[in-house]
Amino acid sequence: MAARTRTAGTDQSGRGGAVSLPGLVGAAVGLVFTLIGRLFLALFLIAEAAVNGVADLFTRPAKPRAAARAREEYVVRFDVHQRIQHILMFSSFITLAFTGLPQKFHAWDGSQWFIAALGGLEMVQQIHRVAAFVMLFDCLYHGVYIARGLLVRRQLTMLQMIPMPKDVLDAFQMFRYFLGLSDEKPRFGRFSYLEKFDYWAVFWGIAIIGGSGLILLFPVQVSRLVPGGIVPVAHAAHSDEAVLAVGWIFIVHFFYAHFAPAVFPFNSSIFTGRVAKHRYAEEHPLDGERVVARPGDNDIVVLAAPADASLIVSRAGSSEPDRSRDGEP
Amino acid sequence: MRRHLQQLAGPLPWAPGFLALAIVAAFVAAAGPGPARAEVLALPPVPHSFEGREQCLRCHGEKGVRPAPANHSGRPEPTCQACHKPAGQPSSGSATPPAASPADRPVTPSTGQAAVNLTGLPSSDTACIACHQATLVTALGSGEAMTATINLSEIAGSVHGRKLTCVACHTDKSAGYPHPKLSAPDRRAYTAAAAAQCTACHKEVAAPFAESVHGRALAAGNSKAASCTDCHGAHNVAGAARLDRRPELCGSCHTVVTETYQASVHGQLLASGRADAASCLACHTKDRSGHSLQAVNDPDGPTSDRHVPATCGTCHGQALKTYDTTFHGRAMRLGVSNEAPNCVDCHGAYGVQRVHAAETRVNETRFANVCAKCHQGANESFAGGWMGHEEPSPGWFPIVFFTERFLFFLTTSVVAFGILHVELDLLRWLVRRRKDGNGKEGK
Repeated sequence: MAARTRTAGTDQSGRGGAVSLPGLVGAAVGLVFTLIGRLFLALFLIAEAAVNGVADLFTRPAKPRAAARAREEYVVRFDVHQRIQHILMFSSFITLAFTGLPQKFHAWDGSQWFIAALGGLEMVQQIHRVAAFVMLFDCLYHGVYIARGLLVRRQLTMLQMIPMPKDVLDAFQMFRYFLGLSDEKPRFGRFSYLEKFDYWAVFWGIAIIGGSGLILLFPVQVSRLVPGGIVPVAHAAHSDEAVLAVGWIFIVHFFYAHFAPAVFPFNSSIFTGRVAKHRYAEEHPLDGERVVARPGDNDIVVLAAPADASLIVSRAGSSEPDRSRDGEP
Repeated sequence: MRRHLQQLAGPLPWAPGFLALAIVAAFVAAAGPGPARAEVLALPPVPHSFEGREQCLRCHGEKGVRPAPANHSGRPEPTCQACHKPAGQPSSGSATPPAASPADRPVTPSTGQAAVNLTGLPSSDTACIACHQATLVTALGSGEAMTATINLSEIAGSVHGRKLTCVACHTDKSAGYPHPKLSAPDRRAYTAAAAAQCTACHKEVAAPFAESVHGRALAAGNSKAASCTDCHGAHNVAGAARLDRRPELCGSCHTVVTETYQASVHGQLLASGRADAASCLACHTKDRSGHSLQAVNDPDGPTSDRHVPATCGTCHGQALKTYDTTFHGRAMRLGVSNEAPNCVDCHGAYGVQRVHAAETRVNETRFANVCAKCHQGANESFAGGWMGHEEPSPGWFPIVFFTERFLFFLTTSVVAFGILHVELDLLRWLVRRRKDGNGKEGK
């Protein structure tokens, strides 16, 4: 359900050749081919991107006038249910991470301080359980939403989330582009391979973490049904899988939703549901062509923002990051 | 000083003494590596019957015809016959001039007491012993009887035996006889008051003991609380090192738990002589000194709910390590409540047994009951999920082991892929930005 957009081409303002120190240091450290080395490199690069992004806030052109924005066409990429599902997901996820990780890394002084600050272990566990049920409810909500979309509303575009062989080829092409072996980025359909990975990773993660969490919540009852050995398995799986989820979300997802140069500091489309049509056509060219060819098909709606819509857009924040800010110098 | 001491050098001709001699010889032999020559207290028999001569001091008083020796000064009438028996009866106690030949003297053990090597006793003590060797009983204010008899073998075996005189501790008796009346109302009060004599020399333990659970209880007026002599003994005062491994000392008051302990694996190992077996003080104190004993539930004490794991863990390190990683250990470390289960909640405290022993609390048949104390409704299936204090391995809970391995591999590879993706994306962006010179990414 979590989908986020990623942009490549936007009007980054000219600060030619500006590779800052963090980037160079990060590249050097990254030569050490270890996970820690790679983590450092990623963090330094993210810092580099953030530095550039902040600088761009002050150097990019003034936002277009409201009249110009009102004429812009938007693609409604996420309907209201998807947006609510994402809000429920990330708020419960962050709560679960912040109340769960201190329990996993209990020997660390910081964990003990944090748990004490929240009111003790019992309180932290209660918060964790409430957030867990919010997340499980969200899954239920999403399941009903999918079923209704497919069976009742015949929104067959949902099926485009299913991984296809093309996604593997797209990933190869993306790495060829990264490594300078090709100047062409892969041309994505409605969902890129990374977006599909995000979505199905949540599916897998919920199954493992949610299932094991329920076992840990009702160990006595569960061991009446299956051998009690399932409990330590659930214990191990719950916390280890949580590290995977947190690692992926906090590093990869946060990067593409917040720190990537094109979206820094924040990609708002998952909250507004809207993506500028030209940007959508760049990021998802295969689907974008369909949108242009057959506007109104299924749930993709192209809006030529009317005068009153521009009010809404400006209040909620535009999906176009480089135009939605009030970052006047 | 040897007036009361007679050398026991050779066979004694005096017939009734043969039995006594055998007894004495047996005791001397049993005394172990003592000197070959033993000196015992002996005393002159009364060469006449008591008939018509009940008032000894008429003749043997200071102004009598045959005054008693000078060191008998002040001894009251009724005590004479405690030591001096008519000829033909075994006498008790001692008193004989050194000039007398040993061969002339009957040597008998005093009333019920073994003859003891008292070589080197301070001279003033012999005066005390002369009377107090006999069975003397005095009455305290409450009417409670208190024996004033010295057990000579106790004195001889004590660490004070050759170093302190009687009056060094019994300071109120230093003025000699008659003694001032005992002020303590009862025996416990007497014992508690005696502690002041100990701390006169052992000043360094006065302060810590006063802070201990026993010291504070005494100060609060609970005369049943243990005082110095309850643990260390009085006349048989022992070195501190010997006390730690004597649970029966604690057991003289703490009866039930000590019996439970003595049947436990700790108690059995201690009794079998294992040097590292957990004694009472090993768990109940941090420094194995009874002077620092605190209440069992003292929040800072080693047996408080929170400190039990560390206390057990000083010996059972592996168990502590795995305990810390369980929910139980995390609840203990992070929890605000005292309900987190620690070692003794599953294993028991005083009665702890080997985990695989038949009678143990944590065994296969009764295992689930232990879990069910907290996890209501827990059955044996639930208990079967407890990994004990072992790390999972291919041979022990392999499904847990391989789950952890698989997820570690998955996490590492997926996150590494994600990081690689992010950093290559950014590197490419930076390179293009630099190459293009205007930051525009080609499309």
